[in-house]
Order: sequence, then structure tokens, then C-alpha cells
Amino acid sequence: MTDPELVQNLIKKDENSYKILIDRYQALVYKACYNMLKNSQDAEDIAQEVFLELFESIAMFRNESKLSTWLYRIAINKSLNHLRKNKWKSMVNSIENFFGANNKNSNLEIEDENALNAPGSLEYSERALVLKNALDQLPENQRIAFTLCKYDELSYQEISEVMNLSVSSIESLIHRAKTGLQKKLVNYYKN
Amino acid sequence: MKCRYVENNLIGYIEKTLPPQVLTEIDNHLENCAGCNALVRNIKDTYTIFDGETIKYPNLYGAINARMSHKHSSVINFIPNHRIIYRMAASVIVIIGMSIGVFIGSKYSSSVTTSTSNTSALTQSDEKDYYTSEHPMDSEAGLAQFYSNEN
Repeated sequence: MTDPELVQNLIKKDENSYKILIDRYQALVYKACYNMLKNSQDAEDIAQEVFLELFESIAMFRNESKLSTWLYRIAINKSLNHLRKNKWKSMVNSIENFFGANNKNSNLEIEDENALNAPGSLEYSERALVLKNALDQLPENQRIAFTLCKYDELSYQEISEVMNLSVSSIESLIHRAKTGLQKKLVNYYKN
Repeated sequence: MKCRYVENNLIGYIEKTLPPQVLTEIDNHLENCAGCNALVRNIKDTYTIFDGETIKYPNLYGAINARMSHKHSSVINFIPNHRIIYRMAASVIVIIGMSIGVFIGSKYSSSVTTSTSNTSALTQSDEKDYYTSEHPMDSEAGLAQFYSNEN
């Protein structure tokens, strides 16, 4: 079954089509969410929400872009919203810690360290945390372009379709992301 | 070649996207500079940490199916555009709250005005009494009694 046929069946609320769509795209969606969030539990929750949103709004899909591009867009938006919510929560936690209301060690770094799927070693966890913090500090557009290029292995053309930008803008965003990351990592390891 | 040049081209060196001649020059520099060598190794290990990562893919169908059936059975879904209804309810609560506030405020201010006017009325009558009442020393008899007491 091709993607346009699948979309037509989904509009007709054919139950078998839901399963086909999930089987076909769950790896893509989960990987996109995981690469943005670097947390398997959160990525699983967000990936489920991506499919639920797709099923709710499938009637609005006009087959102008690929289904995978649309799924990437939803996955990136949902992941970013989740990160924003987490940022707000961690800000509230840090204010509470500052005023001594919460004595638990609930700072972001420790949470992140536990969240990473580290293959065991402390060094791996530390390096992963350094890279994640450096990525988090990048502007949102640069971060999305860089993640889609490096971890989701999309071409510049595909990234430009997902982000609705020209290929040259994507090139520029990725270049600036790499320069920014380089600066942050050099500063970290030199000090 | 200066260490600064290596620092500014680290990612290009790690990804081997620099021209071959520049890559060779950096290689030569790294052989003679322990500081840059350590920095490049550290950054390469960190920058490529997620590259070969094995991702365990969960099977999402069961969980999505459960969430969908829960969503359909949920009462809230039978209410069309529940977000609009929530917003309207919130606005109504705010309006009721404001009306109660205005009502209490107006009642309180009217009772204060009444009590103030009562006070001023009392004051006026007292003033009148004070000026109209006679002091014992004002009359001749009173004065005579005062002097007789003195003597």
C-alpha cells in the first residue's frame, strides 16, 4: 500500500491502516524524538503523541509533501514543546532550591545524567552530558537542522522540506551550529 | 601553523571535510603539540559520542491503541471544542468574582458613608449644645455663689 492510499484509508478510519502506518513509521518517529530529547521514556511518550496527532489531523493532509516529512515536522514540534516545558519546570525547581523549599538534588544535570542511555561508563555519561548541554545552548533552528542532519541522517533537501526553509539556509544553519558547538566544546575542554 | 587555527577547524578536521592539504598540516601540527593533540582527542570523543548509538525501538502500536480507546471512552471527548468551553467557564468565573467584589465594595462603602454622616450629625449637635448651654459662671447668681465659696 502506497502512502497516498494509506492516507485515504486513514481518512476513512480503517483500523488496519493505523497498524500499517505505525509499523512503517514508528522507527522514524521514535528516532527523531529520541535524537531531540536523548531520553528513551520521553521519546516513547512523544512518539505516541505524534501518531495520535497525525490520526486527528489526517484529513488536513493534502499529499503536497511526503508523509514522512509531515511526521518529522510533528515529531520536532512536539519534542521542542516538551523541552520547553521541561526547561520551565527546571527553572521553577531551581527557584525552589534557591529559596530552600526543595532540598532534593533535582538539578537538571543529574536528571539528564540519569536520563541518558549510557552504555555504562562514567566517562561516556560525562561526555554525553557535555555534548547534550552544548546542543541545548544552540539556537532552536540550528539545533533542529544539526540534529536532523547528523543523527537522523537526512539530506539538506529533506531538512529544507521539514523546516520549510531553502537549502542554502539549511547549509548556513548547520555551519553555524557546528561552529557554535566547536566553540562551546573548546571552551569546556580548555578551562 | 598556530594552535588557534587548529581550534577553529576542529569539527572540519574530525569530520574530514577540510581540504586534504589542510588535514595534513593539522596532522603535522598535532604530532608536535601535546596540548592540541589532547584537545582534539577529547572533542572528537565527545562530538562523536552519539554517532554509533544503538537505539532500542519500542513497539508503539499497543500503547497508541490503548491511548486511542481511552481517548474515545473519555467523557471530555463527547464535549465539542472543550478548550473553548474551559475558556468560557473561566471567563464566567472571573466575571462572577468581579461582580461579587463590586457588590461587596459598594455595600461596604455605603455603610461607611452612613456611619460618617451619623458621626458628623452628632458632632454638629454636640457643637450646638456646647455653644448654647450656659456655664454656671455666666450668670450673676453663679458668680455670687463662686465668690461666697471663695471667702
